[in-house]
Amino acid sequence: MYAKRLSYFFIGIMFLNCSEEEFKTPSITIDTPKIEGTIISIDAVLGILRQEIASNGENAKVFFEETDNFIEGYIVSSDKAGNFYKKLIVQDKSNNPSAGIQVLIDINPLYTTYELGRKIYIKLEGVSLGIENGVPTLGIAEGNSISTIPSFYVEDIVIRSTEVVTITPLDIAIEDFTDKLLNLYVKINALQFTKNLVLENNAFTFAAEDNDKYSGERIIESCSSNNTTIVSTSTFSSFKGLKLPNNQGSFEGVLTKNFLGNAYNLVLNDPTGLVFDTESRCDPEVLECLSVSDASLTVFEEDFTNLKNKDLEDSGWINKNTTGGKLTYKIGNFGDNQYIQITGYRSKESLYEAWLITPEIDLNTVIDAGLNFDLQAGYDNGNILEVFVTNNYTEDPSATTWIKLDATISRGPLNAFSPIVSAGPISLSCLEGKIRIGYRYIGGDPRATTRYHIDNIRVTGK
Amino acid sequence: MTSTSDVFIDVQGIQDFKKSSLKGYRIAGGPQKAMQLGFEYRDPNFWWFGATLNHFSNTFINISPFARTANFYQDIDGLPFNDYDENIAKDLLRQEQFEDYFLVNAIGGKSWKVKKYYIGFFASVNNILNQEYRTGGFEQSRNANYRLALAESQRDTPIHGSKYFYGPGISYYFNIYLRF
Repeated sequence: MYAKRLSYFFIGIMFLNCSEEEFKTPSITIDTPKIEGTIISIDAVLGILRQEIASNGENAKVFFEETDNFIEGYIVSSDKAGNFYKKLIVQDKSNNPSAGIQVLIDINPLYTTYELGRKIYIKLEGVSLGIENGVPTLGIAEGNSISTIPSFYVEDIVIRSTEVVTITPLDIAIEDFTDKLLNLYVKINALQFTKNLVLENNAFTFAAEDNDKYSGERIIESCSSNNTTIVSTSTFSSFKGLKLPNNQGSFEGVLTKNFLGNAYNLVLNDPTGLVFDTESRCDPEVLECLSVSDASLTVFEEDFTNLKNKDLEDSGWINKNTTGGKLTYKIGNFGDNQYIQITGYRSKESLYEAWLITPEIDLNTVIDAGLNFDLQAGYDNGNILEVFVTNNYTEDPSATTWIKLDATISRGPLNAFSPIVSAGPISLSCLEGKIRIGYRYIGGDPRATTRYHIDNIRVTGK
Repeated sequence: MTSTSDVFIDVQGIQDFKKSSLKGYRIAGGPQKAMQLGFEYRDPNFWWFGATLNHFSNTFINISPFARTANFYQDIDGLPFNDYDENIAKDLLRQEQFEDYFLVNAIGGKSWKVKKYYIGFFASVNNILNQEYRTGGFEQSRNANYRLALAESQRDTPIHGSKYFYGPGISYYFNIYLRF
């Protein structure tokens, strides 16, 4: 039988192919929201509020009912860095704004929908306007205050426009601060944090000091005038642990007020709002007068013997905390010797500026005046006392023009006292008229709490 | 943010998501390209064997049409998400293509004639290399929105990832028969 071997190879190919085409993603169609109502300016609603306050007092509220009015504006705050919480700051124009308003919204975070520069419309029907923490605030009236707009209601009230713009900050200076500038995105040039908050190796953070509660307040001063203000940063912000820069530069952010509504505050959207690119600082020049020789006449002398705290004011001294805290100077004693002392240690205040100002001293009766005083420093964690003079004291130390004196502020050890040393003589020979000497103590517990004893303050001449 | 389920909670009846952009996507359902190379030998002594080498490619996932509607880019107020980036969106909506795979199969057998009956057996082994391969799958419609899809894409282990169908690993088949 014929046997047949059979073997074979086979190849098969199958293609099911369609044309190679780039795939499509949904094409974006944007329907511009329709605003069915009348748009009025933010300025106009603030005017309505001012009228209401004029007739019904500080706590007056405006309740918008049966109205088809909307306001429009641009968002100038961003909660991306956590420095704003459940609020939008809205101003009327993207540049040269003239009015701003704070809108409370019960959503966190807001920047994912309501980002910086977005134009929005706010329906006024059902919302209320009043002053909260010192600034005009839109929200839902709840009892005697304005509270946040509930999240489920926001969609109906806050309507986004398709427009997102770059906000041009309004250039202002600290001395320009008025309530009309509240809730605006502002820029202030030539600023620096006050020297005692940015001491070498011991600079304060934005809001991560032990006694910062809810916010960290830091004194910032103008290089072009003598004015100071506060930069306030939330302790919930992502940059609270950053150190304050010690050089000078500009600030861009929102002008608002502190929690109590009694002082202006600057608030950053994020740390890039501070452009501190000028290396030098602008700390005040000290007064330089011709040196004093043998002074024989004493114009003023105080050794604090037998004085009590309350006697100070009666004899013309001014003992004032300008940051709203309780820390002031106190009479202290060691043995028989009495002196005046200050320390922020255990004050639990994260920022203080305390002034001790002498009674008026008349220099018209003498020539070649000079100042002497004794100073002792202890528990020294920063050189935070400064001495100033003025011949034009106004009621408020912060509003007075001071000239810094070249006083030798002694340094002490970290856990004991330095010897008592004389900080003079400091020549006042180029001053005339009625002067006051001011001791300024700026710091914060626990980072800058050096204790100072001041004694035997003498102004002499001949 | 809207996930699919949220959309249906808020809306009673019918909601129109407009057109779904499906142009340029591939049909799912098995490989679109297949190649086979085979060899077979039959011996006069009534035994035989053969082997095939198969290559499959161009297999695509079944895309979610819902994720290609306006719902993908719209925030609750109908405007696009403020962080919507067309290029990232393109990456998120790219149709997944499965890896090509090889399957090697072998078959062989023998038969005898006993009187007027035929007795025989044959055996086959499929996927000899024990390849793990995906034959298809589908995208879930849960992440049918830019922000959810973006968050999902950044996870090491997706929560609502695509579902896949896998082919079997190595498998054997043995058969004895009596023909009459």
